[in-house]
Amino acid sequence: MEIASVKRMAPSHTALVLVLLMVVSSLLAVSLGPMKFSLFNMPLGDYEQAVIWQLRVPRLILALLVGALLALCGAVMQGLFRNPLADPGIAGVSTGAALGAVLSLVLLPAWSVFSTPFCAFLGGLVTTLLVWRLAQSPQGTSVVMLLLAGIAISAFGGAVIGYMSYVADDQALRDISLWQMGSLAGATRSSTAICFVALVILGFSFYRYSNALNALLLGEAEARHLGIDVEGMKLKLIVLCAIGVGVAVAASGIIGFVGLVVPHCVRMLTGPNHKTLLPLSMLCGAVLLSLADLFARLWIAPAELPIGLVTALLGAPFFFTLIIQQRSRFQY
Amino acid sequence: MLLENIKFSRNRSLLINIDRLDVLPDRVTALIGPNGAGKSTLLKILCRELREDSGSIVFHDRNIKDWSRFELARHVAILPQSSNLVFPFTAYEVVTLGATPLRLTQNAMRQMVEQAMKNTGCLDLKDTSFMALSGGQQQRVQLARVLVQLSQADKPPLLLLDEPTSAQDLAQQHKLLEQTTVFAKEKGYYVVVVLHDLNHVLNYADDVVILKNGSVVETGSPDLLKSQRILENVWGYTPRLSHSSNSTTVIY
Repeated sequence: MEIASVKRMAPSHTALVLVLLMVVSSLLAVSLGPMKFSLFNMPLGDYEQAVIWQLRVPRLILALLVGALLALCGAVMQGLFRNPLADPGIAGVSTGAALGAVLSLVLLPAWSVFSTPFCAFLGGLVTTLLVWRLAQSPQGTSVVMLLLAGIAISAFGGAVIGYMSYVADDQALRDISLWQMGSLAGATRSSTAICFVALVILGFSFYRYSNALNALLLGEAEARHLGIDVEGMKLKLIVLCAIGVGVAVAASGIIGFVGLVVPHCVRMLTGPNHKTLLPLSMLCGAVLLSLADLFARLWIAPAELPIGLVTALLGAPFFFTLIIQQRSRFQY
Repeated sequence: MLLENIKFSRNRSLLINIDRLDVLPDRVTALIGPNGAGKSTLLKILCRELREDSGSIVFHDRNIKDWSRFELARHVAILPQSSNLVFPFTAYEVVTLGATPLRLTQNAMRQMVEQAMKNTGCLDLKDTSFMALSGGQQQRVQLARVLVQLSQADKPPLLLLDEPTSAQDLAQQHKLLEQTTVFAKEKGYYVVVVLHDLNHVLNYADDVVILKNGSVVETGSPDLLKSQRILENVWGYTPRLSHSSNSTTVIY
């Protein structure tokens, strides 16, 4: 029996395509909206300049950063859990982070610039550790436990956030609904800066672990035999993922499925090697989220859709097909 | 390599209790015994997946406890019984994972990986998805991976094989076992292999270690297996004997 060779795209070509796509989506994001600009219609008046530099560009930058962060954390979580269904949203980490953010907003409103990302990180960390503990079994990570833990945490977090929205005042209520469905409209300098710093730190730290993550795909015991400190690595990567998700959620609320869809697509294009998977997922996540945000702004313009709705519309069918593919491998 | 007073228990039952066991380089040591004798547990202790409760394992004049993770990774490798890969690496990529504890240039790595795949007869599978391969093919790819892992050892390394023939067809079983004798004889590896087929033991092993209930009951040459008493004591199996004009052969 002849087995077909694996067909892949060269990572460098994929990167080139993604960078071009990013340029195109950025130009579209800046020029399209309720107010349209043509690139050939220079120079622009003060009002147009203000729309571009104070509204669209900051929002675009936040979209690129959050997309990259979520896709990066998704790729690392899938490697760590050794499962393509692990995603910050599905495993409940995003909800945990949102819960932290909402609690800090209601309880510590005065400090929200720093306390919100920090509490989101704490919420994300606690949920990741909890899900991790629940999903570990002697046979490896149990998919069913992973998903069930995610459902339970999402239900609990959703309920508490729902309760908070009843007791909150008007301003807090608006912020809370933002966290539940995600929005990039609240882009500020500080949230963008925090996302940027987190992305740089996480990008470099995760990249250093790419060989170890590759070895882990063989199995935990095999990775240990290859000289990798598996326990230490897991703990570090879990904390870093929680930081990434916490920062992203604090800036833009729960935006699901980016961390699921992007690494999977990149893996199909260029293979599962984390050396290429991690940087390409960052690029691809940035492109995807900037396009999703463009869509969210234009679909019912001048009103906007919550971006979490858009990514869910895109991602949920994708998730469904992934489950069908995986069905044969589920263990009960 | 010398094991002394090794004890290992789980849930209050003593699984391994070995007073003394000497494993020699340049030789293929077959680890045999009935199911539940502790063969796999002993392999796991040797590759440090499990830690003994007491006793010492001295490898190259140093207690194996004092070896660093990287030294161990370059000197002790195990071929697992089955593989459970989650994402679609190619066979070639799986073999390159063997180089994780090594410092190699891209070029040196490519040569080493291809050589190892050639030696284990899986170079033609190079660009196929590992997950699409049969169990036997996967095992040959994994063996190549393990050989890459041991390729930069400063001292003769320890190669552990857990039932390497279980998924192979007849010709591949012999090819794989011949390969292991080559590593023992030509490269001076310590080779410890768990086998069930006593014919293979007679054909390829230099030493046998017979385990029962976690203890070593016999060590010596494979000729031990021709003793009806041992087969009955250890396995509870009474062998048939095939008589021809001038010799008697045991049928396992």
